[in-house]
Amino acid sequence: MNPAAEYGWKPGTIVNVGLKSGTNTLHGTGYAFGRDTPLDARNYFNTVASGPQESQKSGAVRGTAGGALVKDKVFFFRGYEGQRYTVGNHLDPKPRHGRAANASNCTFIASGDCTNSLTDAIADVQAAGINREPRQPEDCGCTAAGVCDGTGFPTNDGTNPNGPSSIINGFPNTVSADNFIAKADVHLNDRNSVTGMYFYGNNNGTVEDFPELQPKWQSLIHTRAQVVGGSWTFFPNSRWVNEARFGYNRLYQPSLNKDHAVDPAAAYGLNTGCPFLPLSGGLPRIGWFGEFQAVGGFKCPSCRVRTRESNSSITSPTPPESTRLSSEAKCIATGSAAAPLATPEAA
Amino acid sequence: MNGRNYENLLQLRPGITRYPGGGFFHHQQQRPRAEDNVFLIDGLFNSEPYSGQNIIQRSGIAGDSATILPIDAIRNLMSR
Repeated sequence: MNPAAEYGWKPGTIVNVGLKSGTNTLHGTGYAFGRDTPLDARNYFNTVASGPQESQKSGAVRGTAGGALVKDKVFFFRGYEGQRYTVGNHLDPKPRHGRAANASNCTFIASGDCTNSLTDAIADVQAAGINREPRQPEDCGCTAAGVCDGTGFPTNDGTNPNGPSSIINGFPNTVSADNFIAKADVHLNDRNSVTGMYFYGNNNGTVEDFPELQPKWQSLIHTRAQVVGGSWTFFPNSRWVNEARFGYNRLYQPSLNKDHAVDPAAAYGLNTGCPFLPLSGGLPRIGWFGEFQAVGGFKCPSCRVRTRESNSSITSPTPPESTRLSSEAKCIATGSAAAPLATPEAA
Repeated sequence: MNGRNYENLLQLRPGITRYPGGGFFHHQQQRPRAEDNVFLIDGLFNSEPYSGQNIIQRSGIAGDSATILPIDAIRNLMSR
């Protein structure tokens, strides 16, 4: 199905959201929501035996207001929505693929449990000729103070709600989001009206998008979206209407590992073979998901999507929608991880 | 409305599917791909070409919206 003229050129779903405008009387809305861990039940897998209850905290505040600056002429509308939440993750480390714990399943060393023991897995990697020295104390189930838990797994720093000796990791996702929207309408006369809007959305979070064993390998997520636009509606006569729209938007959405600014060679003794850049540093993630996953596993150092777009369209429908003319100009630019990583956009 | 995300209303229309929880490329209507969707805000282009999703009601990489248009700011929602 071809889209109608005023909806551009893409063949998929057309979703158009109309924003509220201010009126001659002042109107507004307010809303607040709160939820805390003690008011919630445990996750099914987060049993009493597995440790303390994981966090389930969330809150949201929202409000809008609209009115007239000049009666019958100039109107305003504002909106805000803020969210804060900390939600725990519970990941079960049971071995998969039918492998029994402590079974010999290494590739290069004769005995060992590379499925369940990071120490054995590192020894297996070193037996393959890949040396990872000096080994860090937390890599073999010991804290920096030299206290070992005997699991052979990395320990976390105590922020894990399951306790520092547990390999059932559950680092919470902690996210904040602030969103603002503003709109102004100017009714110049009965034939002309102008409207303008601006949206700013900012999201920041530290999340576990992979079962990391240490909080320093969590992901830092960020999204910032900005949209500014306006339109001019013109009625030359009672049969025709022309609407000209102009817009510009910009999106920045990187994903970074928490220790991305750490030089892995200097801090961990690990030569990754890549030059150190502040956005692509850090230790390659060590994670657990039913089986030992990897030393040197993937972690996208900087997934960036930066988009600038502008468009203008002119639509001239005549009631009852018998004739529609439209023109559109658009400029889109995107950036990705392939772009230079040493020039981050200011957050 | 789950997540106070107006996009959850779209799947009330026949033929529209939405990947549970959102994320990139999550919204589709029958044959066209997610990148073929057009999201507009007051008629202004609001689509992001990489993920095929909104910019204002921006999806997280693998989750619900990272940025949010307050639903109390919405006058109407049209889909075709």
